[in-house]
Amino acid sequence: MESRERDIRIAVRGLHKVFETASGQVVVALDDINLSVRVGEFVCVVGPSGCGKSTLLRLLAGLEQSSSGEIRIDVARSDRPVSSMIFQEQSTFPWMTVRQNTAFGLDMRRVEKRARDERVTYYLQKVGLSDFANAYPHQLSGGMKQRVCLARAFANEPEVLLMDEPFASLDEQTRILMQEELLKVWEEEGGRTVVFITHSIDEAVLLADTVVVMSARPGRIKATFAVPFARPRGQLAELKLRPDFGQLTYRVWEVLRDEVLSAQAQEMKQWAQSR
Amino acid sequence: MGAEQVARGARVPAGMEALLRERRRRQRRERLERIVTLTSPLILLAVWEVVAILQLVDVRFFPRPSLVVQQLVTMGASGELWQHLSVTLVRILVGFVFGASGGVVIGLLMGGSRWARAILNPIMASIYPIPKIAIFPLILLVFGLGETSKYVTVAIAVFFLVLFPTITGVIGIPRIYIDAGENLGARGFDFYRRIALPGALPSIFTGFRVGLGVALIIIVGVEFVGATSGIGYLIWNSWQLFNINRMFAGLLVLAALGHLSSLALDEMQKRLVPWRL
Repeated sequence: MESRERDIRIAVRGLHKVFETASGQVVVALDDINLSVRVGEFVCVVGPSGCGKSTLLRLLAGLEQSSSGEIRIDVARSDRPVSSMIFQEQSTFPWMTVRQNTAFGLDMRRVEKRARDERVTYYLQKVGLSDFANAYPHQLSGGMKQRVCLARAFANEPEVLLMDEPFASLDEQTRILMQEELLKVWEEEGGRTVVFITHSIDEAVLLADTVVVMSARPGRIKATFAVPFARPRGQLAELKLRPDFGQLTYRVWEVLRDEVLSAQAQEMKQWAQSR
Repeated sequence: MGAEQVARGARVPAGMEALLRERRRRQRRERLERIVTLTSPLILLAVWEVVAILQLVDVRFFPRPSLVVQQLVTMGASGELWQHLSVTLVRILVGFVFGASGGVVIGLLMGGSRWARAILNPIMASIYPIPKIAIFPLILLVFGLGETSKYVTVAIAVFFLVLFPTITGVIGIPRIYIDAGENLGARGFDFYRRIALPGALPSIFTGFRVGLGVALIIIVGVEFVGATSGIGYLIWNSWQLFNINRMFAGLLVLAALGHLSSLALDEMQKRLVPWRL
């Protein structure tokens, strides 16, 4: 029992988030969220749009404060950052080269120059951007910019990687390759805990050890699925061909379907009220 | 041999000839544009020269450009030109550097901190509308007749023109870069140096551009009334002596100064802002 306690990296207990919109409407974004993430676990959170999954991630990242409840992230090494986030939007700093972007977290932690350069070179090579180290983001495609964000987050060596629909704005072909790339880098690294937000069931099942399904607003955790596929997962397109992949995505969809419908109904009601 | 011929033939796309023709036409047009751009001011001067020779304008007020240039050469040879020019340049430069750095520093602070904005904004907003040349007498009282009063006047004018674009620049930095910076541990001075300053730099340069232009106006005004050297003094003094050629020579120098400073800023911007937001 005690050893299992120690295996927990993120423990969320009774988390609530209430906020007020500009028009004065009170919105319950998260309602009593309880979640445990083991050390080295890859968790994907899926939910209908507007269900507060991004809010959950921003709370985990410390970018926002919760209304009540507790978030505990266990830190094995105090010299490392607790979490690094990969955002959905383009978040590479336009005024820094690819190399400077990747080194940014390490710069802020005052990592010694040689160790920093070594690590940056290593991760740039990992994501295939070695030849673009001195390019500026505006010279890169959307997929390449997200690679920079991956390298930047990994190079920072956080206890937890937080990803907020990082591939949502990419075209489908690029997205598949990026998913494989992410898994490759992550599997080779070993042991880094990931919380990954997505609205794509396919993506969640392809990447995760555990898929968490959230309800429509107010966001609650509705179901949790263990994903049985072995790692390394290799070619994700092959994984998609397996019948158990199809069955699992269907089971997730069954749970999610009602929530998406209820989210739509909420939207319609809001729209009607605003008239 | 025959196969290679075919292969090579296949590699040349059918539209290649047309493409090359199009490119040659574009290059010719661009060359012509450059020539016209360079010669149009010269043509204007030539027309002016002819009009002056034909006495179609009052040559007491609009002397022949060739005479103005001649005057300029004489002043250059005697050293008078360089003496006035260097004095004005130093005044602009010192005033600009102090005013602009002050504007950037306070602007970053006000852009990055709500408290700084709440405290300083009413003060800045109430001083800003005063035409800076109007406080020159006050500055003369405080700093005396020496060079300091000139630097201070220029610096104050430049300060405000850099301050406000810097504030808007920082406030306008997309939220995502602030979040990403915070998430990666940029706090305090790191935030201002690595996020706020570079993020606001394109906007700051707009301030520099306007500030430098106004610095030129201010320094000429100051030199009209409160100096015994500088290009502004040269123009004013020439008017008093009714030496119109010398007056126009001063104007010519000012025009060149304005143009060159703008080019210098372009070059600086290219080096300091190599990205596009």
